[in-house]
Amino acid sequence: MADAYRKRLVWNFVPPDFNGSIKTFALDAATDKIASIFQVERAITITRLAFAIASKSGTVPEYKSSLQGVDFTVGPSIPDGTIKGGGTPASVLFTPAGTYPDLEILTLDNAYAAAQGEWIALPVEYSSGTIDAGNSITARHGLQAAFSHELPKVLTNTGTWALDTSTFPLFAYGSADAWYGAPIHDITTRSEATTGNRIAMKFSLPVGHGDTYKVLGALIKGRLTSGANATAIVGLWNAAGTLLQGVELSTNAGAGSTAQHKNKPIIFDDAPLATLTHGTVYYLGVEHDGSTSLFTNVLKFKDSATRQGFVQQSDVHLATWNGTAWTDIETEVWEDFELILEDITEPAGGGGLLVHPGMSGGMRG
Amino acid sequence: MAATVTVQSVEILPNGSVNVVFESGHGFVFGSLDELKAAVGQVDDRDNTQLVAMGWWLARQPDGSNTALVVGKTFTFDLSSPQLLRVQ
Repeated sequence: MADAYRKRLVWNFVPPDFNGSIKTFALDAATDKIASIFQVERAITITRLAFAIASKSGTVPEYKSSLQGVDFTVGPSIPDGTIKGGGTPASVLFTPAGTYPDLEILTLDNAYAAAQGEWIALPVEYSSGTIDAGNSITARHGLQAAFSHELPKVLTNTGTWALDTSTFPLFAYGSADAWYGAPIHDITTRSEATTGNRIAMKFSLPVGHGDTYKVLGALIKGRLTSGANATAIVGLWNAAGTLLQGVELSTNAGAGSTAQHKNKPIIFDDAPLATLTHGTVYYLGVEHDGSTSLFTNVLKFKDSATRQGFVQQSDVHLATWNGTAWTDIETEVWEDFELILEDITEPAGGGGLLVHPGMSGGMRG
Repeated sequence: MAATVTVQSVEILPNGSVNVVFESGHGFVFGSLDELKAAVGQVDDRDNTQLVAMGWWLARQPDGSNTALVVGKTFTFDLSSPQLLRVQ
């Protein structure tokens, strides 16, 4: 029996006031440091750390990273200098040798069992070797937001720790198969100028969490080339590329702004809405309808494994349609992906996340 | 409330990204020139000009007194003008 239950399903990859840019900081002096201060989301044995590197120059010196406690008595709250793990320190020395920009993944010398809610500081700092502007790295340490973010914090240090205001940290910590934080290293633009082609997010809702549902609306981030009367189709398609429901996105309604990171909530006006099934893959995105080009920002992950570890769902990622077939792009996602769901029904046989409101007592699957 | 920055480099990368570095070591990268323009465009939005007006007043009266400094005044914040901020 269909339930009128409605909810928003949000995959937030950036803060809602993200302005479209990544902040950088040159670690080119012995006193230079960056750090993130955060609370651990759930109990986890941390084996890996990650941060984004923008570039390297010359002969790169050795750097070090670690998990430390937090000194809340010193403004703006800073790493306390004590490496977690005691005699088996959760730290690592490393010399970046990759091709950048890229995510630098570090394996701790010793894993650390962090408790849910534990406060941790994650600094990156110089260790040894010649360091100067010609022999160093530049980190991509944060996402620029419009407002000051108190938590999690991003700090930079050229001698004294200072809060990097309006910045969301680009640091990550993780176990062997999961990432927390933001293991993202780049942002770029995808554009489409061919009629009938699409840029979309692939998604599915997990089997066992429900039976059927409908998509009432979605949050789109993208823009059409400026100009009056330019349009595109915001649509929901199946794996075969068949349009299930769609609505027009128009520059006349504000979709022609110059920035593709700005939110454009869309409500589908199809009646009835398509009935979708948990466990089945769908695509929600924008199709070029011949009147103008469209652009969207995408966040880049080092590889599909990193994205999956962060998103915690293998089939949530970017995809494109060339008029004939979908191409999965497993290392990219939109900045945000938000669906407004309704008419969510319980899994066949009961269970799942929902309890039918008409029941009292009885059994839950 | 004064802040100073010295631009070290501005680079437009082959993929269209714009990479800006300041002498302090800080910098940022935007996915495209249009994205940078959009962010800059927010600086002279009315909302931000309202904050600039308040900042101008509080820089002169940190204790929040002498509201006559700003009441009735018109603040024009224009990045394209040689006179960046006009108070009339």
